[in-house]
Amino acid sequence: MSAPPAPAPQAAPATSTPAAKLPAVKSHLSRFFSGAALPEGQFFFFLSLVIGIFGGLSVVCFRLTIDSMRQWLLGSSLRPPLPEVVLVPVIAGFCVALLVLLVFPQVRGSGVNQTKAAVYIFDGRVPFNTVIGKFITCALGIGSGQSLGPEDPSLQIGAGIASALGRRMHLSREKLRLIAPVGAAAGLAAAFNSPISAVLFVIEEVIGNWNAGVLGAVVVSAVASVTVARWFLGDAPLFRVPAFHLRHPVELLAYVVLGIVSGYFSVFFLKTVLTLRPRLQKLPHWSHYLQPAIAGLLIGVIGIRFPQVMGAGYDYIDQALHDQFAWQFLLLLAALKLISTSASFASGAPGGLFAPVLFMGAMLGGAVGGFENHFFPSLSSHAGSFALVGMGTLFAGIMRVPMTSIFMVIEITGDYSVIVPVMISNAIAYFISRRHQRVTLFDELSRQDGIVLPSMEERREERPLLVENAMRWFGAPALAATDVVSVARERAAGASEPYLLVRGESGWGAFPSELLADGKAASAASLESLCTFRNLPTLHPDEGLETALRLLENRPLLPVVRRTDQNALQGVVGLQEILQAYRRDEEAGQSPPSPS
Amino acid sequence: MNGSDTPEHCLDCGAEIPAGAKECPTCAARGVGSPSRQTAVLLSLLLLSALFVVTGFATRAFHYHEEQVAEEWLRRGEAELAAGHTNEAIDALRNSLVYSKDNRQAQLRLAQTLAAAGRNDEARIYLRTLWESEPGNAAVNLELARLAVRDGDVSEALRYYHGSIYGVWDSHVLERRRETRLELIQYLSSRGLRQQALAETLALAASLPPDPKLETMAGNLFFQQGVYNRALVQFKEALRLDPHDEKALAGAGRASFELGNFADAQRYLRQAVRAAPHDQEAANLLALSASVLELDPYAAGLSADARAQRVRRAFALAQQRLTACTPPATDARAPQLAVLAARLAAMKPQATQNALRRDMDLFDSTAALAFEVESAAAPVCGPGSVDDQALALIARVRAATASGIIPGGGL
Repeated sequence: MSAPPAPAPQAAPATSTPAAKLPAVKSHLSRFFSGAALPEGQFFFFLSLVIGIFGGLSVVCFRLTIDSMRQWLLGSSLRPPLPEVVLVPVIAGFCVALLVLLVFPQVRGSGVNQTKAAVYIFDGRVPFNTVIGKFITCALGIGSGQSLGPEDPSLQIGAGIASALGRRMHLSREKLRLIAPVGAAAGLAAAFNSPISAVLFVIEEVIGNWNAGVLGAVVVSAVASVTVARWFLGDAPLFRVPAFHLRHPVELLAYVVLGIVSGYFSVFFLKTVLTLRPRLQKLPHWSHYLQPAIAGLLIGVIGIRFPQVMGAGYDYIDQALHDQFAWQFLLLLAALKLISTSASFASGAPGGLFAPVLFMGAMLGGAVGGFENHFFPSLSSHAGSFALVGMGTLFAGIMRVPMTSIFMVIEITGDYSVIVPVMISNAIAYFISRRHQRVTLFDELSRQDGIVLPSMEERREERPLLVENAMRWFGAPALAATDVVSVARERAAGASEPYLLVRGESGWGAFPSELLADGKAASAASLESLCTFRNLPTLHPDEGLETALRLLENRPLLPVVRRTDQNALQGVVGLQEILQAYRRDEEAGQSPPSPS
Repeated sequence: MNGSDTPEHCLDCGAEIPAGAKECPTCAARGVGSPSRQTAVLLSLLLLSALFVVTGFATRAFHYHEEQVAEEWLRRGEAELAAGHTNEAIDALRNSLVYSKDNRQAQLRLAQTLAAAGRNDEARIYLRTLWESEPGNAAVNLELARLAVRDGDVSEALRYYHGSIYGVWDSHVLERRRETRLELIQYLSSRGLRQQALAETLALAASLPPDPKLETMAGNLFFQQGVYNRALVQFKEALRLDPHDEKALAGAGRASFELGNFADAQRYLRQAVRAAPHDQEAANLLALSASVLELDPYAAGLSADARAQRVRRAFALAQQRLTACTPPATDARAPQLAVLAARLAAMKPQATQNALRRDMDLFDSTAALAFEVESAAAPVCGPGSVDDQALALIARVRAATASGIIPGGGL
């Protein structure tokens, strides 16, 4: 060949030709896709984004499938014709039972407690066939009229997709455990079309604390998921919400009543589901094939006259929000939905409780509002506002996620003026529910399945013991490092402390008090030289006892000082005091001892 | 929970991995090897792209299907409505809205149907929702106004009618506004709110295009409100645009008649009757006008002889009226008629042609007695002949003129 030899690649400038750039680009892409270009933490964030998009797409498909299934099985009318309304839920219920019992045994239930179990027990592993099974069985069940919703299954589908991706990407065990909540948030956010509520729910119910490093990833995936869902389904909110007006502060009394009614309704629903479910599970195995069909028959019979109870019921929530039903009818719908949802859920048909809870809340709220409006017109505004607040209130009472329930209503309405009535009625419903049903719904469902999951509610309310709960008064004066021994002996005369504390320029030190009596001490240059423990870490009264334990190591005691003055000794803490504080706490039950 | 002594589980299949083993024996036996992270990321992005495209197509197809379903239900609703099946129409329209929540046409149609079915509360809810999102929507305002009319809430009705009149219509804006204002005028008139009705009618008249039919309509409105001079202006305007408009001619005749301009009335009514011979009311008024013009003893330009003759004729008509009218003795007004008959009998010898020509006081008192007889006889004995009606009318016009009232001169 007569052509001149090509110059060596390293000799050419980096941007000379596209051909020369190509290897560099390929190498960069290769490094990026292999994850080598990103540290594990950043790759986790990137993966959260991918999970969010996957979650959003899968939930869009899930919703389309449910709606298509509904139209295909029951027709497009709000009032399906008689043969379909009874037969379809029965036949579909039987098919769902076959699928659940023979093909997808892990898809029973709502999906929230299963996701929690994946996080806390199975290292974040959600089998992918659960995703497929949940998708198919829920679409069939909800589409045929079972009184369940698509939100909790969406949460589990999201978690399942995240788990599968995490495994394929060879995430570390620690990251893999965190990836399921990321997917759960994506699934729930897309299903609810409300990212804040989804993030809060996952934090409140699945993760359990705000400190987890996964928070950023959860937010990223939820936002990505909602963006995708809105891209395909439009950015219209789940419900068209009427304008909320609080005419007079006295109206808040009406919301107190709503809180009380919703609280007791929550308790009744929880007791019904938690009593019925184990009883049905204890029936002979062959009956499990028939239970969803029987639940379907019950719903179908109710649906002949009240088709509103079938399926998720979003359209009817919308109507309740706009005062389109009389209060007596709303009350009846709430009661019928309670019966049908309890039957569907307890029968083992896969599906979620979010939508039914919102339905019951809207109907109950509307009924309370309508009743008050009718009999005490000066006390309340239009019933639609009560339906709106009622959704959040019953959600707080049944799901027991107070922050989510408040922000959910605000996010749905986009109106902060609703916050005061929502907080009032939610708090009342929450406390009534908590008083009569100690264990939350999802925890109790897990326990019924033989799994004891950590209670997020208890974890949220844990109050750590503080140094101030353990510290004691120091029965000797704090000595200065510059004190001569004779002066120190005089000052410490009569003190019963086994150790004496010395404050020097380099911090606090301690030495056994008997050293002062020792003749050798008189020859010591300073008190500091007597210290057997130097540079003692200091504690403050508001610090946790776990910190104190960590700092104590083999030291006999630690000084507790003021934050405003590191030389001002407030007390001391030793191992004995810490153990006594824990013992006192154990004896006193939940409440920590008062500061000494 | 996951301490070091707990057995390891395979992250792919979940099977237990024996201590010391580096990989899952189940997966290894199945020959399932995990792809590298690089391959997994690439595959995921490819899958994501494919899923994005598939979801896009699925969503588009689904939305198209939903639009079709919504359209079909809307059509069915309209058909049911046309067939008079209101409840079925409501169900169909509700179904349509399930698949097309923001379809304002369906929402409005449903609200109208609910209102027509008397389900005002439900209709109001849909309308309020529409109104909240679009307060300037004229059609929504109009429906809300009609609901307020049914509730008897005048202030709300006025508010929404005005919202509709000044709101945004999709098409035929001026026509719709005019029709709405017309509806408002009729409502106000029915509630006896004359001043407000008149104000709206004036606003309506001011915004009319040059159309004889519309001018005639405005004239009729003024006429119904008793503002005959303004009505006459509108009728004249209509006649300027179309001199042969029979309704305008009749209207102008009636307005002139009410204003006491019987000569003008006769002129307009004669043309009106010629143009529309079937218009019995115009024909009657024409006869009455002619009779008034013929009988009025106070008409301008008459000689003393002619005046005296007219009074004598009126006197004779009054006498005939009482002779023909014999009320039952139980009627409370019978004695009054008897007194009038006695007065007629007493005056008859004095009311000669010459005396009436010379003595203006006698002339006036004779005419007054004749008018009084006709006025008193009408409620007891019925309207009487055209001449009797004409005399009673002349009596009313004279009384009104004497008390300073200009008939129909509201504006």
